[in-house]
Amino acid sequence: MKPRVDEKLIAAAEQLPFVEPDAERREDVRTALLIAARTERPATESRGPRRARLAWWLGAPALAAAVVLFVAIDRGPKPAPVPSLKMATVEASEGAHFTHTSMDTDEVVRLTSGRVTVRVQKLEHEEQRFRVVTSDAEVEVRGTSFDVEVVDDRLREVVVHEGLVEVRPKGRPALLLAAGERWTATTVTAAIPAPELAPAPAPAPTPELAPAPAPAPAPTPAPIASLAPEVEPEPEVAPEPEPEPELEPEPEPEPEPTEAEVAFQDGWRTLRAGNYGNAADAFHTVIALDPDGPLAQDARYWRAIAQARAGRAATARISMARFLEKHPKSSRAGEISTMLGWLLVDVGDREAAQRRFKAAMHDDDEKVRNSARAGLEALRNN
Amino acid sequence: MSVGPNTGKLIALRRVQGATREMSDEALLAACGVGEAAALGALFDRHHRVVYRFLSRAATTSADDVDDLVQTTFLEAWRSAKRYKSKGSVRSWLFGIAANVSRHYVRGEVRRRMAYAGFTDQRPNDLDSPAVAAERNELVDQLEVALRALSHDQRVAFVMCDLEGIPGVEAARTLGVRKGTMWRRLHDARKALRAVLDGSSA
Repeated sequence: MKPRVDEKLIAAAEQLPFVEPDAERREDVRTALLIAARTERPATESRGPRRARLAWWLGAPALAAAVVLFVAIDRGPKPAPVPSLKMATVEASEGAHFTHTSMDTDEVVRLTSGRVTVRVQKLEHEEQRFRVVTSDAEVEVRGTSFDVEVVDDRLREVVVHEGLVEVRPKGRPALLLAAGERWTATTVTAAIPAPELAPAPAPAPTPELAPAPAPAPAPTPAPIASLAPEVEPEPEVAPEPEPEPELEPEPEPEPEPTEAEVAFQDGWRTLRAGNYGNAADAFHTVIALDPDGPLAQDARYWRAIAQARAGRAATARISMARFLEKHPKSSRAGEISTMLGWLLVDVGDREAAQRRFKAAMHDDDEKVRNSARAGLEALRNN
Repeated sequence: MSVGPNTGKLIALRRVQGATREMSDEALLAACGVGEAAALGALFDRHHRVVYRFLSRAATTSADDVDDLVQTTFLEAWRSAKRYKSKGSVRSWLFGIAANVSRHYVRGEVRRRMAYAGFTDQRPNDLDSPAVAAERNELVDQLEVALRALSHDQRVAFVMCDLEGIPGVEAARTLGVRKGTMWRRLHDARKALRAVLDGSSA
């Protein structure tokens, strides 16, 4: 029997909110839709009875599950052993704000305020890294237990309970702290201008879904302050007058960085810190400021990576498709095509995924070709 | 960032004015069936808002995922355009596709979350932000929780029939279920949600 309409319930339920996309996001989805439709024809003949289609829908999640394992673990034809994603446990004090992210062998805690206690298990692989990152410092460890405190997004104190910790404050030499030692920021430290922690962007990385940004070169550690031997003061001797320095022409000042360059460095820094959402926005700014400039291709590439890492699969697919439209001859085109293929498999778009994998089969990089081959095999087997 | 219509390759992406505005939904679908991408664009322009609304309420995913679902819905409509049988409105047909898309997306969501667990920031869902929550009254909050607690089939039935106004018989046909099954789903959904109303007025 047909149930009676419940008008009061409907009136209340009509107030349920829904997130209406803004014009830009709507345009992004429309563009991605039409790009996807342009690359395939609508069905021209029946694909078989309804049950066969239903079977495909039911099979799609199983395929997605199998492929997701590839995404999470490896891109090659056979999964390589991967160290545990979680190398540390983090206990936060009340009010601490942090994000804890990991990608393959690099685990990062981005601490913006408060205090955390970190216990890192012994890292067995050379490429494994664990870092606590603040806006003005990095703390890197291997098998240890320590506290880190941050105030106003600046490193305040590091206390080591076990093991060894390297503290790299901006503008100062790195310090190695042993168990029982402590490093505390001073007002002098706060006044020192901070050079960039990260070098320029790395060349094209591997085609894994989460290629790690190039690690900062480890500076030579300074001697541990508390163990530095005391030096007897030398007897005072009247200094000889210094010769007058020759006048040298002042070096030309370095040009101020452009807005796009500043935005790119912001994006790079936040990407390395694991703040993928902000990184994607920063790279988007670079593209908006100078869409045909020298940084545009890199910015498009890293925007797509950051969006994928942030879990924004839909926008990552759009960005990857745009990268390929804009830079079809880029040395990264194969890599992006492969990553886009995997994302398309994840949403069940097999035909589009197959095209993307095939496009990457002749890439110069063996890892890209292997990943594309694995994608085609995954589609065949499911 | 919109794509400019300056190259031959992108002409199909240009919004076609005039003719498509006069075309019925069925005519637009027929045009999609013969590969006219401009018709797909027009279909999207015409129905994207209701599809967004339907999926925002019928699927229990984040705002970012709704973009995915909307795109997949229209892409599937593009692929299946020739199989549209005119037994119900095109809007109802789109909802049927969207319901299937959201059902299968949810099944994959747990696996996706496990895969991406190490890569995402700890960002709250937009709908749960304090600013958004402050604008809604408590009853609506409770209704939303109750709606999300329904089974997928009950939720789709309620959203499709009671919120989007699709007649029950048409909804049953679109979803490929018997009328009796549709009535039962609708009844169960209304009963569960009604309990929230009755509880709040007690």
